[in-house]
Amino acid sequence: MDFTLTETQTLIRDTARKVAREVVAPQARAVDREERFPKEVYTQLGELGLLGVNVPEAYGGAEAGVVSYALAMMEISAACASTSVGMAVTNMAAELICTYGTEEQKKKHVTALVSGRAVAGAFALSEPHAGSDAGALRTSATRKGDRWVLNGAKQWITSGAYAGVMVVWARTSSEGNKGLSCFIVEGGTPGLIVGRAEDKMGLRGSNTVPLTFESCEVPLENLLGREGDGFKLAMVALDGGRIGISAQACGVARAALEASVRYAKERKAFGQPIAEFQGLRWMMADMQTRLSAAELLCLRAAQLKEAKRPFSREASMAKLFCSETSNWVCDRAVQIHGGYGYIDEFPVERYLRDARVQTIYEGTSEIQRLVIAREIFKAVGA
Amino acid sequence: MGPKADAIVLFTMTDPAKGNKGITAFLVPTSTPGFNRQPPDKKMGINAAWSCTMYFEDMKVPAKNLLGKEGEGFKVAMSTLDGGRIGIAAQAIGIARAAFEEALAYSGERKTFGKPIRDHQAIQFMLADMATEIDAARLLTLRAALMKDKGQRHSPESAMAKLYASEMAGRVTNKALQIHGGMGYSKEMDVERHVRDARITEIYEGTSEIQRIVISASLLKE
Repeated sequence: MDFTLTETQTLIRDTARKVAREVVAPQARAVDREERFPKEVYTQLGELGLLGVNVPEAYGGAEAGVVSYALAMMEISAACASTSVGMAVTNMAAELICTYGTEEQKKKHVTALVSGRAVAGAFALSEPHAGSDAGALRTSATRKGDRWVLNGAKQWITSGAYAGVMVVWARTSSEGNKGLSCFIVEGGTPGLIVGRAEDKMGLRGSNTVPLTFESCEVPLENLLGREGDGFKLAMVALDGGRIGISAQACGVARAALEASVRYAKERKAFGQPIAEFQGLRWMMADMQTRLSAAELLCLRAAQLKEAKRPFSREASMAKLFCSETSNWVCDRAVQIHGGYGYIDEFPVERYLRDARVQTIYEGTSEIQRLVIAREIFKAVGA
Repeated sequence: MGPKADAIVLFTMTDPAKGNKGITAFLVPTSTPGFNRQPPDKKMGINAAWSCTMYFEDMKVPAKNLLGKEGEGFKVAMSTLDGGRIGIAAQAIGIARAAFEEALAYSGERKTFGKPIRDHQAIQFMLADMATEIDAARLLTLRAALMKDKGQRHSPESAMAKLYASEMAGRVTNKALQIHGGMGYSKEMDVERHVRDARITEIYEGTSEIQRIVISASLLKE
């Protein structure tokens, strides 16, 4: 087992760290406060290869692998989670089209996503009544001559109002999981209606919208994969997506810990810096230990995916542990800051609000536990 | 209520050499020359409760505005805080109860895998833990309140009530949000507000760390 990074991985991490510090972090507070979608940042991330870290160079990607992708996500997330969630979804959409798309689909849509030309990618799976339970989706796609016609409603779509390229799941037959198919829909297609953005607790700079499809027509060649492959594609994409959110959680938690260490050295109580009190030192030791465990779970899942080995169980364990750890670490960071942790002059209350969604999206903690338990029992043949 | 208050109780250090015994309390009208305050803080929660930073520059206060005796400020503050802790413990319990009731109702409406989520055992266990913790916090708080009513010393009991109730509110409101899934993260539902409002109860009126100091000090004294 080797924990050292390759040259490429180091390069990607350092590139991401630089843009995170110089461009993303300085505007993170305003992005949150003003609910400002960081559109222009995505162009810069695209130029640096960060919107297609695991996408072949032939389609404009960095071709640097999954571990590099996770490292890049950690860096951008430590600066601004609103920005990094859009980055994650764009990478996911590009990768999915790369894996299952035709040559034409890759040339057209992947290059648009990875370069930042499409601004962002979107991933339209969840519906008002079905999130974690993908088999219960209702949006339909019917073939009419040389077009597919989509009808239905989607919810919680990240970057939905800005995305130039969306991957949309719809039912092509009534047979549960086997009746699902996947489509590429370009932003602005007639019949695609973007609803009012959600007013959220955190990630306030990311755009989350409901989408309605009203006889929305796409050409036949926009079917991604084969008819009926939708469920499989969703599961593959979600497994990978979990690595992205795990990395996001690690990045936010690291930022919270760093802020806490800085503050604890400055703030005094009872005549000494609070960093000198054992209660706080132990708290911070626990924060660092859990964070390191989280980072390793995340990178292990990334490495397995990169080696093209099964990684569902490991990705779910990473997502469960990283998201719960990040909430705990950010919560402790607020506590260490005392009253200052509750006001927006310090970033830790934002970290806590941003972290809160991590145990929910990309499969709730409860869903991760279902996946992990299923894999455990499968392994022992029970 | 700093940004709106017409008068404040101000704690000052009148004799730094005496430490806690050098603290003195004053009643100060905010119209007093030399009194300044900053705009309201932007906070994570309790957004209708305004707070701010205050500055005093050569502010002259008549001697009759002294509250209690000179050097008794610490005693004044501590007696208010002990009572205040019971209030915040009760606040935490109220917030947690609201979040619990909303989660209970929602778990009957929301369906996954063909049945209401409250029919899944993991959700049932979460609800059971939430109800148990709320009751435990309520009893700790009522015990402290009863002791105060009877005029008994209640510092460690109030600290235990405040510590447990506020941390309980953090856990219960977060579980309630979790039960709501994505809807819980949206401002359309009340539960994300409960999480944000509950968070301050672990900080103000003495942080959890201060409560632990009070509790352990009383244990070690015996």
